[in-house]
Amino acid sequence: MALIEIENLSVNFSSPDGQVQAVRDVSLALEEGQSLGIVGESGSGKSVSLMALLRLLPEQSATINANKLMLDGVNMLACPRQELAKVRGKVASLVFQDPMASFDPLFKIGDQLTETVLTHFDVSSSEALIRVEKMLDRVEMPDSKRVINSYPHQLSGGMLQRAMIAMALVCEPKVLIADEPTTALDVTVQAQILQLIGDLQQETGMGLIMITHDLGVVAETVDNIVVMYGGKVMEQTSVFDLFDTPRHPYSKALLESIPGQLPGKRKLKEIPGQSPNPLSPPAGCPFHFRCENADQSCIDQMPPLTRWDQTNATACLKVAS
Amino acid sequence: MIGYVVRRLLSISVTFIVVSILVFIMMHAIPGGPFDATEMPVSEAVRAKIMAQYGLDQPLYVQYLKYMWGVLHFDFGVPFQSPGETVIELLSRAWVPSLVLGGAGVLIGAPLGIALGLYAALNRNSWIDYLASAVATLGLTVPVFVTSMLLILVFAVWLGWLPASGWGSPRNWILPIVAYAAIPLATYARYTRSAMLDTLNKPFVTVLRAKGLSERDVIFKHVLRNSAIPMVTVFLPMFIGTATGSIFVEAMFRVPGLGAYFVSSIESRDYPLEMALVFIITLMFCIAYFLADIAYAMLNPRIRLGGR
Repeated sequence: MALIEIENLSVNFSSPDGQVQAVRDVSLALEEGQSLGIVGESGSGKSVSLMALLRLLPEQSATINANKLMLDGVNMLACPRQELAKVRGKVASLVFQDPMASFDPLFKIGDQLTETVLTHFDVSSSEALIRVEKMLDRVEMPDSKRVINSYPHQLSGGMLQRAMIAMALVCEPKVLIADEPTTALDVTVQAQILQLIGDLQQETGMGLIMITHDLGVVAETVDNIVVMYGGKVMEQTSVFDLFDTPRHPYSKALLESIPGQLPGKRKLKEIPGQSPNPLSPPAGCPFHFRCENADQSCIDQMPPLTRWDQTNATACLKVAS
Repeated sequence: MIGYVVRRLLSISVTFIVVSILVFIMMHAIPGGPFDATEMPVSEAVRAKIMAQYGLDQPLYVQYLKYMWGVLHFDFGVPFQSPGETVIELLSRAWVPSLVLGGAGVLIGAPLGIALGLYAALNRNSWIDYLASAVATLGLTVPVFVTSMLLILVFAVWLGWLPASGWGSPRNWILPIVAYAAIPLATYARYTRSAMLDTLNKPFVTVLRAKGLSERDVIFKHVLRNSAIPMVTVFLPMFIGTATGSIFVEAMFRVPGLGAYFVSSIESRDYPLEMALVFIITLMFCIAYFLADIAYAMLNPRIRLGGR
């Protein structure tokens, strides 16, 4: 049984201008212990898909539709509130982009971590504190005694992100979902945090989903990759294949826009144009506006996700033919 | 924390002195005096004697220092418009109705407003939320003398249930207190709702939910406490109203409170009474902001620990 099974997920947000179609017919799966990178630019629907899985989107404005939305055998679509709380943080944990904004500024780090333990385990608070201390050691937190007694504003971004990872892992979840975990950090700290996440995944055998816009981040931490664009899955592949033989024109364009690819060529290659308007997404391929190979058929019909083998699938008419 | 309290106390004392000097100067800068020929047709010699008796012939800084020396000994002088009693006697007489009116108004309006704002924020876009917004908008935009008029018209004139004015019996108190309570009700409902919504939109609230906290813990343990920080700075100063009442409500319902003296003491250049009233208001503001600062620091570790 797969740990995460998402089939035909669509997420709409109601806004004053109409329905924002953030995620359109997305399917993805994660086996236990696997690692998956979800890559795409802002607004491609990568975060929203996983937030929808954990039902963390605002109920007032977000409409979730899916044929299947399963997390560790729990149907998240039909899950009552109390059951949701049991799954969150225990089966699947999240690490967010901005560690400075991710902690309640009024509580000490230690209190916020033990709170997580006490939410999911029936243990005494001293037992919870012992688990927190152990976890802080495992994330190689320097000066962990001081960190426990510190308020968020007293710590650096890197330390807070370590604490955040410790908080996410302290209940030994089956999958860690890291949503742009290094975007808000200094470059030097970014590498440490990625190394840490990768090591912890190896040690614990947990599943890992790494959501990012940075191909460099996923290259070193995950096995498989889903490329998203305009709320849709463009390509599913392994990390090796993505960098070696990208099939989808969007994946190719993404790779070409990484700085320092071709020596001597000074100007950074960009993808011309803008992402499609989620208020009225195109009927055809969302990338056709910016694609060099697009023709009338790309404008008229959405290419289906064509599967090549176990790991590879591409949604492009030009690649399929 | 102690250093913080001392710093706040010092800054409030400075505020107090600056306000007293400014008011003293402005008061005397208003053209005319309490014993001008238009007020009191007496001979020049008599006027000079009266002026000397009240010390008004001396330079302004001497008058100020003398006055402040008296204030330090709780001597606020004698009101010119009612020379038979001291300022303190007049205030303690007129203050009671204002205290009852303002105190009851805030004690009724504030909890109702907070409850309404909380409920509205937690049930966003429900009919209660729309009701709360409507109440808050009406309460803040419709002047209190208009609501007072409406209350008098409906409950005193048409229905005849309650007296339109006066302060003799508790039955007289109901309409002015209701009219007054509408102000804190509307203000508190509005600020509570917006402070709550502001906190609910913070990323850490999503983190709390993501780590599996029950919605009850998210709201009562984390969101309320965070929302309280912006709320105390708005709310505590509103309690000044409990001490001073409302000039307009008192005028509309003919309540014999402090309100009337605010206007009359300026009109008649009643320096001692005017200074005393300003001192009361300033003191109230200073105490309210001091308490707000302390509450702010107690709630907020970033201030308490002198961080960024």
